Amino acid sequence: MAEKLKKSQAKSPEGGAPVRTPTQQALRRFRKNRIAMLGAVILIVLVVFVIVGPLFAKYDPNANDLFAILKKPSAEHLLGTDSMGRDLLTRLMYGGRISLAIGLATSVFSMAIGSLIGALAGYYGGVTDSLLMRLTDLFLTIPTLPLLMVFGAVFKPSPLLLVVLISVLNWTTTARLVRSKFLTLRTLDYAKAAQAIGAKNSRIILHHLLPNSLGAIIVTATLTVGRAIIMESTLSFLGVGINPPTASWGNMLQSASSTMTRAPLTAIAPGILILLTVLAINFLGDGLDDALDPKREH
Amino acid sequence: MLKYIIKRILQAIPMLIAVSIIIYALLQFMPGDPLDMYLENPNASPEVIEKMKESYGLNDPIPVQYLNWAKNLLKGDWGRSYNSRRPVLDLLAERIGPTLQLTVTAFILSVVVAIPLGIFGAIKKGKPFDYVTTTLTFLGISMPVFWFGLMLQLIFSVHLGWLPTAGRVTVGAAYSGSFLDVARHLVLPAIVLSLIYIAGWSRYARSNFLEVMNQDYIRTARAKGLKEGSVLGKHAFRNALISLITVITLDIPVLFSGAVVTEAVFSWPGMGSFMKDALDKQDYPVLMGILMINALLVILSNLLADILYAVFDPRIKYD
Amino acid sequence: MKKKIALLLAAVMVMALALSACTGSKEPNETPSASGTPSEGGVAVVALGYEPDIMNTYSTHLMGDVQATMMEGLLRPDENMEYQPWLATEVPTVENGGIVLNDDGTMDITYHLHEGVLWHDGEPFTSEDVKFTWEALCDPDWDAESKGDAADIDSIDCPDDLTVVCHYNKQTPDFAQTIFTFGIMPKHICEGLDMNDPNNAYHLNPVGTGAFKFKEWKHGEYIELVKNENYWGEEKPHLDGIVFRFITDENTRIAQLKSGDIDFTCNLSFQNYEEYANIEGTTVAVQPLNSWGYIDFNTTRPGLDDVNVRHAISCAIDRDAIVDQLFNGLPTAWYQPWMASDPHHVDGFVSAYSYDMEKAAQILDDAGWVLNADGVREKDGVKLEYEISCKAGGAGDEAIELVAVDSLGKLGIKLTVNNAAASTFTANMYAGEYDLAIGRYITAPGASRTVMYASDGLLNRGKWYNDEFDALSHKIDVEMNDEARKELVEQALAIFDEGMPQVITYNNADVIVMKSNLKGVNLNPTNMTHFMNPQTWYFEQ
Repeated sequence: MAEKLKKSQAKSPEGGAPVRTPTQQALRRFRKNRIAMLGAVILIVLVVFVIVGPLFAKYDPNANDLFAILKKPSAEHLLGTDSMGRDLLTRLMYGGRISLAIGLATSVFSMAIGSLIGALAGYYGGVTDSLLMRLTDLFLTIPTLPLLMVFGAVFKPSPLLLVVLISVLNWTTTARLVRSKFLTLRTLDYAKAAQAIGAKNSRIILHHLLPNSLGAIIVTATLTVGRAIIMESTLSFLGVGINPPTASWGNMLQSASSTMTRAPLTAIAPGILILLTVLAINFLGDGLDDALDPKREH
Repeated sequence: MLKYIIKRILQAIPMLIAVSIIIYALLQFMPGDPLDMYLENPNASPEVIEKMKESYGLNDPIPVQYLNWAKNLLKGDWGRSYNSRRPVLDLLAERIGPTLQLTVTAFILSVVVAIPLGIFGAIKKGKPFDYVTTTLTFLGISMPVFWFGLMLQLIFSVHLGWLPTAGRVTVGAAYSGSFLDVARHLVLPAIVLSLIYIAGWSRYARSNFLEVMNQDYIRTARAKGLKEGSVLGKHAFRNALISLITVITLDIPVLFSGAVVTEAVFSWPGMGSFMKDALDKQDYPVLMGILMINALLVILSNLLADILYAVFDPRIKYD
Repeated sequence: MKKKIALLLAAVMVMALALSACTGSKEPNETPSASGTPSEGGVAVVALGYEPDIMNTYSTHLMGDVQATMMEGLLRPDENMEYQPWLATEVPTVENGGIVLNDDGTMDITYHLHEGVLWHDGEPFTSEDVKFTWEALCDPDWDAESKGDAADIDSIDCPDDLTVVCHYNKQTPDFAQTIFTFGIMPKHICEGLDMNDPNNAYHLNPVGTGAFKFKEWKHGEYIELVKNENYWGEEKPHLDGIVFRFITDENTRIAQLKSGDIDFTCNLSFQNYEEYANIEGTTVAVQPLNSWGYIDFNTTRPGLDDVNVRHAISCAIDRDAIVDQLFNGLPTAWYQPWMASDPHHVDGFVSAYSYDMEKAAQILDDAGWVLNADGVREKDGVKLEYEISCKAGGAGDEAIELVAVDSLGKLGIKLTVNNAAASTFTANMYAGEYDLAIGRYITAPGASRTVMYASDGLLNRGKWYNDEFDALSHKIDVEMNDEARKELVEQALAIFDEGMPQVITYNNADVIVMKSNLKGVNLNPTNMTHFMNPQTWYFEQ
């Protein structure tokens, strides 16, 4: 990709002076963006916490201790225990694996599907557009939450199934956004120019239109991460979430709604982790959004 | 334009039919059937259950059941609830009012708060105002609805005693059901329901605005010495609005079906809490009714999005 | 025969508690203030965790909480689960001549009705109404859920307005479980109505003889009842009205208690005790129920068909810890399907397979179930790996489920949780598509457990077939002598414990929170609900 971009850069009429490739420029802009860097750092810390953390955990995340229910933080249980006497810290680490995986995977999947369909529809227009948009409408018309509830009742909700379901039902907004971007962009001069000089469609889409739509895509993508994590939590509330005893930040928060006055940490801890994740990813998204738009100055 | 609208409406009809078939088929995948609740009662003999199945038409092949349902729907008969046995149309009529009260209030609240928040965020980019609102919107996005609802109940109803915890009206009081009474009950659920949209839409607004402000023509306008206010008003606002409208319009049905949790937490007697109930009881006729209304709403709002888009952005041609 | 036995238990209204809101009648724990006369007026707001489906005690799939304030029956169970006369002047017995046992195995029961009882619309209540109620239930076109023991009666005579003679086609000690106890319907209103129609004149405006009259049902929100000024009973209702609000979310109900928006709620979860125990201005009451929690086995599953495995599982469940630690000591650890409030229960009975992890392991070792490399016990290629399920959202059931998963895991029995929505869970169980299931039963007074555990029992989903138990159970069904019945129960229990079709975990209780100034509330352990005596409720000034 970088190789290709270099070539295109070299050929471009503006070329000549020693210029950084767009990728390098973007990276530089990104690194200069402190907020975005903060987001990246938080995210890395969270990922380390959930991947490496469990290696040091001395408790089984699902082991009950009926004689240590809702204990306050102590040397034994650093964050205390939950309503089944399980170690909160351990469950946060294991639960994070599920929640982060669901959030990130859903975001990536739904962006991929949505961008592809939106791009095709917006670029080609005509019959392609009509067909794809009717397909989008069809998916939009099936209400997400009710459908998830029905699916949850039919199948055993595993994390993977949730990712697939939420993604399959969640790409429509991206598709519509990307399409509307493309509708506007393809009428702009540079797209027309590219077409005029006989550039391939795939090339115009990938190199001209898509990068210019990335801002909108990334904002949607970063919002999706949080939404997916919350969606899992909501499904737990509705009784069709991931089956216990498997922990997720979402279902921990759900069960905490009845223990939070007695043991505030059961609610605060998963809540803060979800918040941090969403914040970090959105900071990152904003940074990327800025970095990818060469017209923005700092 | 009119031709385009008519065309889209005609296109919506096969869409509705397709959706109804999909939903109907999907509901058949649910294990068990609605009469299973009788199984737990030794008083309901197998003969009685069989008779009920027959009278509900549950013994017909599924395509026949679907056709019967569709035929009756066209005649204005949406079927009867398996649970309360009352006509689905009556039940929905009772529920749609409260749901509209809640969703319309939440919608207006969201738009009124989100758009200014996003615009100022974009103008003040990198300033404290932007950071504060950004952080607040993220807080909104990362809070599950049931959780936020519970917190508000604890703060505003239990501790401060300012607002009622749940329900739509005060029961047994002289002022029961008056505008003010309902409004008081509406405050917390409307805030809870709108939170995620305020957060989401203001992010879109901010992002769109930033993008538009960086477009060449805006820079040109600025360079030409146009006043900042005029630049924003005439050009940026209008252009940023275009994609924002798409997002907002498309979110309307989500707002509608997203009321499930809010209504459950606040015992708001609308379609959302009704749907949760119907799903638990496998009350298919009711579920079909609610999902069809939802589908209709989506199709209408899609249409609306496209029309608004065409109105606001003359560059897009429709044939 | 199968059906007959089932019908005998008509009143056994076995329902999952998850569906029900409250159960009850007289309450032993709360003492209404003895001082002074009750004050008049006020409206009590009751929060139910569900919305009723239809205003008819025979048709509803749920508990008849709201109906109980308006409808009255001839007899009703008291807090000790003994029948007391209500619209009838006395409980018919063989001794008082109310029951006549015939030589051909049939019997006749005579009820004498109270004089001066009026329906809410002012019409007099007569023996014709009783007969009509039976006739309506016999109509095969009415698909009522609780048709009860209507089929046990061949005919009814009404010699005068206040006398009813029912000719039974069998002898049964449990005649009062459903029909006539659930309530009497007014002939002058119901005659000729399509009882399946929820919008018929009766269902839209139910008319009973009770202390409160129907005013309005705002669907999705509340049902409002007003005082019956012409109530026939000696004690007239004190409250001006009762409002039942439907609040499904328990956290919301607790918040409503804290904010003072409601006066009474029940069916609160044990684990949340500390959340609602000390709310200012409220009182907590614990009413033991004729209901028990169980872990049910599908005994057709390889492994679970071995009684040793079932015994070992029973040994791995620490009922005391569950009740004391998880459930805040509110229900009682229990080992038999006859509850403490039931006079037929075996006093102090503890299962031979109570909590003992070493014993559990020993039983499995002796039976040849050995641990494999994965830590799962195995024998002849059968691995002890199962699914365990309960209704999603049932806090108590889910907690026991987690205990079972953890505890049995230590023993080498691997459980995977597979919870489902109520209807799906029920469907799976009756289709036999489950391994272990957690649930609760609630029944009307009566010693018979045929419907649950005998081979011909409709609720015997786990297919536990035991000839000895069947024989004893069928004897219990028809034994008219109470002492003899108790002895049979004791024998049946011994076989039950050895056969272990279910692990009984606790004697269920209902936790009620009400305003401290709400007095005169009589709680009840049976399926006839806490709302049978609303005329005694009042607010202390």
